[in-house]
Amino acid sequence: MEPFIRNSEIKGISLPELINDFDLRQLDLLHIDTEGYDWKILSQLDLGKIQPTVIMYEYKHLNDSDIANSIDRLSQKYELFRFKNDLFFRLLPFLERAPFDIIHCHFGTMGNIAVNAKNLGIFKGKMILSFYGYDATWYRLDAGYYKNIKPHFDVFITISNYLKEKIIKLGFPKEKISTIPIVVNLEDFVNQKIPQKQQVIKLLTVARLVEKKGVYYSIMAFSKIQAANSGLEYHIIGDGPLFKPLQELIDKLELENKVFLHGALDQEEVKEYYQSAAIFVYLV
Amino acid sequence: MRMSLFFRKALAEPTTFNPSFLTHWISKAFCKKAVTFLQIGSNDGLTRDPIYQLISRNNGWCGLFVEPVPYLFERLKKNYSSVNNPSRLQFFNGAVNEGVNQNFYFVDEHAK
Repeated sequence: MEPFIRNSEIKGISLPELINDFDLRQLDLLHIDTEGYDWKILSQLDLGKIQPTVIMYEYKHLNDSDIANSIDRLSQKYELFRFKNDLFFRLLPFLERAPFDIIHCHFGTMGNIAVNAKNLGIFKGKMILSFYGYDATWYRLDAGYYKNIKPHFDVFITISNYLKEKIIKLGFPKEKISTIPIVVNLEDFVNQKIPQKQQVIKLLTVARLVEKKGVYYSIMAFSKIQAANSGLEYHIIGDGPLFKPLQELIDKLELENKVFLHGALDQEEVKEYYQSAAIFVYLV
Repeated sequence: MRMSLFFRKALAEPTTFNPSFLTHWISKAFCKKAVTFLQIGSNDGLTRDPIYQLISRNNGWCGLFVEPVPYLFERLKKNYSSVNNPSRLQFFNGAVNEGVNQNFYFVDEHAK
């Protein structure tokens, strides 16, 4: 890593100077994203003189005292919202729409939001909750977690009978559960060319990066195979809490040029990887 | 992550303009046409940036980008070079701190 770290002297300026020099006293929107320095910068703003309509900063990388100070100071003049889990922001897009007849929630964990919306009178239609996997099997999403949202749904859908049994055990009423397996539109793959003899043979995994999937083991296995076979690449699509540890594992094994973590991609992008891969590594 | 992808899809507008969650909200927060912004830590201006689309599509948005890392700064300027009326945008290659020049460490663009 050493040779890749660059060091240079750069210009520094204080926030008040910056605002003054660039004539930004009528600021409407302030967006700070500096991986940990956000409050050091934002705290220089004199809210008595300059009050942007919207301030965005990231508390994720801040230390505890910076988080506390920022909340303390900003709440004197601003309403504070956390974007990621804030109910208001999650429901905002629905406020401007016509009432829906059917609300279909994908993943058990989304049920909570829909129930809140129903209680607030935003959702008035029939409610469907679909389960896909972790939402019915993860130990922290137990009967207690689902207890209060259960009565609000009209139908539950599971993608397999196995999952159906699981949610019956979680206390969902059997008669309201339907199993509808996930299907693939075969037309999407009609024109797929099977990769001819290529110089590089690509392996592909599409999975959440969580312990249950065992991506760690597939990378370790790949590391052994590639040592004996040249021209192999392993592409992994998906995101999750193990993204960083897995990237570190890849770096440690010195496989940066052979194993690629692409993060979450949309369906079209994933399709392209399916087309170019020779081997799909299915992790259950 | 998968969940948020689902969620983003649920929010997708039926138009060609599909703002992300944050972009959508910011656009709602500003009813007026002229918006002055300051972005500190702009990166390349594009990657996971919630205001890129708003700035590039709205001529009334003017303001300043601050980015210390030299090669990102160059990409930032390039990414905004083709917008309408580029003179409404200003760029500052530096860091916001107590107002002193500093040694800055960053990962080389070729490290991957």
